Amino acid sequence: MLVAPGGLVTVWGSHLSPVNIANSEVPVLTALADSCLTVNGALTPMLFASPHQINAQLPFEVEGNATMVLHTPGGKSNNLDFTILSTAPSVFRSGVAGPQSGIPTVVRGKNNQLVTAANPIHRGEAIVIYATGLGRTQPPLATGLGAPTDPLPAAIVQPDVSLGGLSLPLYYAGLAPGEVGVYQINAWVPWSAPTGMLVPLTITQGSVTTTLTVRVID
Amino acid sequence: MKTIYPSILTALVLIAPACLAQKWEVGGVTGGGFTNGLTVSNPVGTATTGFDPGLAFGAVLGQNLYPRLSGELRYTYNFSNLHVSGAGESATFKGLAHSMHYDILFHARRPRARVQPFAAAGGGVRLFRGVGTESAYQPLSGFALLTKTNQWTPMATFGGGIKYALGRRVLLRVEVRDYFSRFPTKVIAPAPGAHLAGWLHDVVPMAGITFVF
Repeated sequence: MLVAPGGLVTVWGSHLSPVNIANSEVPVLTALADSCLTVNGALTPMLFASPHQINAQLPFEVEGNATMVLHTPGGKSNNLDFTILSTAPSVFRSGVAGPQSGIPTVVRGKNNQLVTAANPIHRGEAIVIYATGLGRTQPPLATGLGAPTDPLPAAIVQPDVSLGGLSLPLYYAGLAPGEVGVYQINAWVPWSAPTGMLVPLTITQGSVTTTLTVRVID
Repeated sequence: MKTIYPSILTALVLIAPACLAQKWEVGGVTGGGFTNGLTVSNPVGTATTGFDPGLAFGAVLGQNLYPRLSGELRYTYNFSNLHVSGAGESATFKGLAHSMHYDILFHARRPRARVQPFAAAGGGVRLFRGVGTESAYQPLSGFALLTKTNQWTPMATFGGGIKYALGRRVLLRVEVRDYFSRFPTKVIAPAPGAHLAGWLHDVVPMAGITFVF
């Protein structure tokens, strides 16, 4: 489990919450349906709670060894010990196109649609990668708050994004404006980028690398 | 007036054979393209893909090289949308093709014949273009991907037709050509795990007017 400060996490289990409830308020509430999640004793903003799943944002302030505990009306969970790395980039696989789901959230700047085999990346265009786990930002942002537009909270550790081994120039890597725990990486695909049906798109930040494949054409 | 029209017609008929003795020929043709479909298969089934029938038009620049032999440089523009269909679904994508080729024409009759059948063969290049609007979801994308891109392919042409002299310097051409090339698998790309390969025949019947000088 690779996670980073300020990143979004999903906790799976049983009897996590008595009801299904989603939170759309910003700042994000730290208790949903009388359940709350703590990391090293600090309350974490909860975006969604259900009997089997909780979505939450890890605190920006905690790094290193951590202990997660869930408090519910039915009692307290056992401790979950884990490590929070300074960076742990991870691209969402929540994209949907027609009947297809689980698509990586990489968007073409040209048409603002998800990159798929039917909507491939073209050389010489911009892409936006939506991810989490890019860690602390400058300026810093309090946990649970939506990212401001000005100044943009940029990731302190700049990621390296490569396409088929070719490093892409980045225009921005940081929290997505208005979003909680969601980061975006704006990149440019050079004309020299390799083409193919399954070209690896790799994001490296600090010691952590994540890779997915995309279609690239002329 | 009634006597003038037959006179003109008679004059045209008499001078018409001279057309086919001229050195150069230039003009335009129009028609429609009809292509064969290909089967694309993946582990779960098959679908059919290819190009829709579409309007074609082009230009001809010919030179009479020998009494029964001429050469001509041609350009043809085809409107030919891309499609894939199968399992009750289908997808289309706007497409077109540019063809540039040089053909040798073998004339069946003497140069001054008013009606001149010919056979043609040659070669050149063809540029297939997918020019539709891309979308994250395309039906049957597990078989073939209709793609906004360009692809050059070499091609051969075969065909024949008839030149009919309408006047001293005007020919009516009725012909059919087969543009024969590898299937453009960048424009219609097989999906990962799918198999698509073969040859594309684009049979294009055309008619047009050319001028000789």
